Parts: sequence; C-alpha cells; structure tokens
Amino acid sequence: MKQEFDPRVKLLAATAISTVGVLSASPVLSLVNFLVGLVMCSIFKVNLLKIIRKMKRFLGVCLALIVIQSLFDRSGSAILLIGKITILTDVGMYRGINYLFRVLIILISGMIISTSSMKATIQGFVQLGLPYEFGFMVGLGIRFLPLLTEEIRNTYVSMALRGIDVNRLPIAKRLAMIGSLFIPIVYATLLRGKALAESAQSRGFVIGGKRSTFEKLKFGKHDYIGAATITLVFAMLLVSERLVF
Amino acid sequence: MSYITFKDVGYHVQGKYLFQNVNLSLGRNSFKTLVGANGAGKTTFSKMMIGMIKPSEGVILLDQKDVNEYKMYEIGNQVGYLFQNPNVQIFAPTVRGELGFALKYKGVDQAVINAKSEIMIDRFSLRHTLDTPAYHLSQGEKQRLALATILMNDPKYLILDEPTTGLDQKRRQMLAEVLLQIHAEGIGILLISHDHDFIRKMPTEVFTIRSGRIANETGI
Repeated sequence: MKQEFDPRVKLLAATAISTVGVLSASPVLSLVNFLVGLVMCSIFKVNLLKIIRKMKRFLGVCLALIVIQSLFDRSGSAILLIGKITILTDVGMYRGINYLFRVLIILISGMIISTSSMKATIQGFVQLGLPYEFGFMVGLGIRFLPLLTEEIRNTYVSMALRGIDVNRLPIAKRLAMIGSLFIPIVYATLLRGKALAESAQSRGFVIGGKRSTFEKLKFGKHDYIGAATITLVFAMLLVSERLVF
Repeated sequence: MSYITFKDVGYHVQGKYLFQNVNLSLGRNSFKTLVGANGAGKTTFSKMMIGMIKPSEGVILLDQKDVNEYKMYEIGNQVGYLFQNPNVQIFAPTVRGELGFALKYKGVDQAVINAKSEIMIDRFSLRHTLDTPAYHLSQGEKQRLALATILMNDPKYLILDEPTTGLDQKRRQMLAEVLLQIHAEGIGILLISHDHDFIRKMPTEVFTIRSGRIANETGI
C-alpha cells in the first residue's frame, strides 16, 4: 500500500516549484519545472485529468496573454505583422509562454497542497514554525477556491446572457464591458470574506490565541526521501537557471 | 410546439447519476415548476438549458437546435436566466445603469432605454432605490432589479432559480403578479423553487427531481 505523504513534504514541493517558476526567465526552464510539477502531481495523487481540463479552459486566455505581451513588449523581432502593427514578436512570445507556465505552476501548487486535508495542512504550517493564522488563511483560500471559481463562472455567463455579441463591439467598449465583470466578482469576494470573518469571530476565533492539538504530524522514511529528492531536484534546477539558461 | 426539448438527457458526476433518461418538452408559452430536495440537481438541470453545463448523455434542443451549438449571447437573446445569487448579475453601480446595461452595449437609442427602464422601475417597485448604489440594495431589491434587467432584454423564455429568496410576503405577492403578467404576454417560464406556498398560487405544472428521475407532480 502506498503511503500518504506528510503535508510538509507537499508544502515543500509547492514552494519549490513556485520559487523556480518565479525566478525562471527562460521558457525552457519553465517547461522543465512544469514537467517536474506534473511528475509530483502523479506522486501526490493529484487528479491530472482535472488539470488538463482546466488547462483547456485556459488555452484561449494563454494565447491572448502571449499576444498582449508582444503588443506591449517592443523588443525582439516581429513574427506576425498586420499592416505596420506588430502582433507577435519572438521576445513577447517567450515572455508570454513563460507567464503561461507560471500560471500553470501556481495551479499545480494549489492542487498539490489541496491533496491534504485543511486540518493537516494547517498543522503542517504550525509544525514548520509558521503562525497558525497563516496556515488557516492558506487552508481557507484553498477551500474557497472552487466556490469563487463557480461564482466567477456564473458572473461571466450572466454577462454573456445579456445577449451582447462582444466580438462585434469596438475595442474600447469591449474593455469597458470586461471591466464591469470585476464589479460583481470583487463584491462577492468581499461579501464572502466578511461573512467568513463574522462566522469565525462568532465561534471565538481570535488572532494570536494559543491553540493545542492532539494530532502531531510525524515524518516517515518516505517523507524524508521525498523531501530530500525535492530539495535535490530544485537545487539542480536553480543552479541550472544560473549556469545554463 | 416544444421550445426547449430534453431528449434522453442524463448527467453524472464521477459515475454517479444526478438524473438520467430525461425526456421533457417545454412549450414557448408553458409555465413549469421544478422542485426537489437540496442537491437533487435542480440548478444543474436549469444550467444545462442555457448550455452552461453539458449533459453527459442525450441532447437539449432550444428552438429545434442543440443548445450547445449556440453562442452564449445568442441564447441570452432568447432565454433570460435569473441566478440564485443576484450579486453575480449586477454589473453597473446604479439601478438605471444596470437596467440599461445590455441595451446600451447593443446600441439601442437612449430614449428607448429610458422609456423601458421607467416601465421596469414601476413594475418592480424600484423607484425608491434609484439614488442607492446597486450593491447596497437589499437581497430582495437586488433580486427584483436582476429580474427587471432580464426583462429589459425581451426574452422569449424565463428560467428563474429560487426567485422568492429574500422576498417578504408583499414582494412575493408582487412577484407572483408579475410572473402571471409575463406569462400572459406569451413568455414561457421555468420556475425552480422550494417555496410551495408560492408555487400553489401559480398556474403551473410541477415537476420533481427525485432519485435521478423527473416526475410530473402537478397538484402538490
């Protein structure tokens, strides 16, 4: 029977791939980091099919990001021109791809952490010496992510159902309309945060209060091996970032 | 004639059926109500009608065409959908701005927007809210504003997910009257509700989702 990894190993993995993701300026290194992240997903039993489905949804956004990077980044040679307007440059494309991998790495990191229960994750943070509130916040964030995603989706569909063909709108109107999407999303997030804070306070939750727990996490042999492997792989990636890419 | 048709529709999550073999015809002028326990799949069912969720099996036809072949804005020009949480469908900071939001982007003349808005403001008792930011309205007022905004678009069919949530007795009575008027104008309605008192006042055929099946239970 395969053993469950300690949440601290998962936190280490998520921190490692996120760090390389942020530091990497090379799309090749970002790709390698992403592939390493995928391997970790299979080790930590993340539902990879779910990631692929999410990635499919992101595809349009990612392509748009690559084009936007090119539009605002004038460096590099033009790959695609419409008249005199540069639509795509090689540097813009590299940066866009890099950005895409960063987004995917964040997604993967979240999914790796979410394979442990919220309670175990918070305990992991506490035993790592971080404040309880920090772990609690991360745990809540992960737990509420699906709800927030659903709300964003409802908001988007609700706007689409107003019957406006966005593709026919001039660019200024299109941007104004997209801007309007943020109003309900930000408002819903604030409302949820307020309700959550009230609920936590009504149960006597206070910042800085001492907490005790019966359950303590213990590192097993596989956890030590996992943590050592992750540290080694990411040390190699960080060194290669300096030497190769 | 059927406007929305379910043909052998099934939906499952991780192999577990929420409902299956659903065959249902909703006429353009029909008034139907869907009831069922929490988590029975009522909202999923209604979201499938606007192509937001794809059925695992079968097909849903909107005006004789697979609903998934439409673009979302094309569905929006035919069907109005009131979400359970009205906060997700308020995009403008003022009540008037919200009422005219879609028509403004569609290039409708401002005078026409104003005239239609005035009718909706009176119809849904929103006049006292005109100086209040849309997000500071009560739940019931937001619900009425969301419904008024949908009607500004002249839909042919309305799907209302729990429209009585947050409404007091007087507003529920008012909503009942508005729905009867809308129905009399030839607009089809699918009401999703737990509110049995409200449903009893409506001339509606009642369906229940239970154990993955949909049964006609008119007269509950």
